[in-house]
Amino acid sequence: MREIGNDYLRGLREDHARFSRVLSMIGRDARRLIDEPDAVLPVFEEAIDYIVNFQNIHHHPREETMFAKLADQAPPLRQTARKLAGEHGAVGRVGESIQAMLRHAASEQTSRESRKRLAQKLERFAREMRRHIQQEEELLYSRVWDEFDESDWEDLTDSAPPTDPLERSQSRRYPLLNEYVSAGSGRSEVSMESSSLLEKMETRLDRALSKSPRLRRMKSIVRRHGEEAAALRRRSIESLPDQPLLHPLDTARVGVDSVGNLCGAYARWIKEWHRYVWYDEEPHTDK
Amino acid sequence: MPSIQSKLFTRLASQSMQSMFVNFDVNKLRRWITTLDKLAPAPTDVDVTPSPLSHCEAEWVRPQRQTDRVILYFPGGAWVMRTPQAHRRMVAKIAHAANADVFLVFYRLAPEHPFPAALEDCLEAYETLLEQGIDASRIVIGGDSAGGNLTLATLLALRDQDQPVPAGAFTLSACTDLGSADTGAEFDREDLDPNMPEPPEEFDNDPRLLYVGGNKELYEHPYVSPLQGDMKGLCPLLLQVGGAEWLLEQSTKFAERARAAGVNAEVEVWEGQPDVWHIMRFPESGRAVEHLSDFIRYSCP
Repeated sequence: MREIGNDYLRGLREDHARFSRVLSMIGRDARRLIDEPDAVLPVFEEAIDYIVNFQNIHHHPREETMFAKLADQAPPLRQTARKLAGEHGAVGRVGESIQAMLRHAASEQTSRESRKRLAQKLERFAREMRRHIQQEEELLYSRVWDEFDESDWEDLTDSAPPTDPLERSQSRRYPLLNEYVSAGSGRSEVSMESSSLLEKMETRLDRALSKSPRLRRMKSIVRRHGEEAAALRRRSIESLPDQPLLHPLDTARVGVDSVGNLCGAYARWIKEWHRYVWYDEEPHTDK
Repeated sequence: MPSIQSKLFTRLASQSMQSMFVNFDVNKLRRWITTLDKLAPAPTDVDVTPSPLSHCEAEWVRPQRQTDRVILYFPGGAWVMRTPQAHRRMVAKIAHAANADVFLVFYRLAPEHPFPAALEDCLEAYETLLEQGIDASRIVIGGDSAGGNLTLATLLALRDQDQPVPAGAFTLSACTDLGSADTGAEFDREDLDPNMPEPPEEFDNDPRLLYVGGNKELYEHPYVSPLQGDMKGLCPLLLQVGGAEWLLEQSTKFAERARAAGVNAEVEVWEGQPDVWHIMRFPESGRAVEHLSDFIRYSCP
């Protein structure tokens, strides 16, 4: 009878595997919506439709049946089971709102800012889905073997699932998503959401560096003092005794030396920079 | 755009860490790294159980939940050193995110044990998992930096020995070609990763040379430079690499060649990230681990 349970649970985990494939696509490519929406909008529409519909029809009903049974048999898990089952509704609602945003973005010319918001929402959705899947597997799936007996698994198998639409026979419904999932993305560039303030500061700094020899000189001071810090730290390591195990005092000394050398180098750098900026003194290094 | 934390780290560290790993006495470097590693706090939310192999230390890092997914992990350290505590913390994050147990293998190090000692330990670790009754389809192999090299070499060796293929494999900032003279021309040299400055062509105590026991001809061997190997029949692969490391092209080239050989290989280039940024606490570290967990979950349901 463990076989039935095994099949049932394997089915749920395979669903999670397919969701993870789609989530990984969202994680990598959501940002492409901002600058090349036409290239990715159609596949994202399919992806969210797949997640929302397939979960509601196929995956969540099976999970909820299993969670309810688990909660009956292991009262300490009742709250977790209720919370995670309750999240299914939220996943559906957020998914539907993203579907609406995607449809809107596909039908009308939307601004870059609104596509950026859409990409952020997609990324958040993917992160929440991931956390949800991880918690289900960690907190509930891992407990079913301890709690269920043969008759429990028999009860569960009565609810036979429909076929997963990402399987080959059903692939016509999601052609682009299927193509993506089977071919993979090859190479993808992943970047974090940029802070507009940081971006502005960087642009201004680059512009200032290109115009001002003084700033360029300051940048070179930073580099030179970094090298000095590295040289000092090398000296500190070279001075270690040749014994195989470090005495605790040596350990402490290396730590203090490293931090001290680094602080010392940066303190000298700040001092020199300060003199250069305020008193126009030519930078020098006193090694 | 990289996060503020990542940018600050890269900028500050580049001032102090470059040249640290070049021309250095291996024993002293090891002791210094070990000292720093001891300062890292131990992971608290996993059970760590030693499980030594014939020639090296290994341990199980398990989240305190039942799971049947196993990650066989080879930590990096330029083949000559290790940071057990930092790696324990990193694999604990991966273990939680992917709901998997991790078998962390501290393979033998060069120069005392040159090639193929480390690879033999990695293969023994895989065989040990199979002997323990773990099905190959429940195993994902992974590693960072030199460990990434060993991950790919292990895959090639397993295929050549007709061993069961694991469900998937991932590498973080892998070194795939020891003889490479790549200069990383496709990225901005100013942003070069401070943790791993590009080495000069030859220098004393070059870890690559120590790994092959001074025999440079071995650079051409596919188990030393997996990029030189035939990649047919490998399992699905995910290669994550930082956009600011000189190893960047080694991962992208490997993925390209693997795909050309019919392997489902994907490479993620993380903008502005240094070597094995997963070990840090940048926002990108968490995100990259999330992507890894997706890969592990869909390779090994």
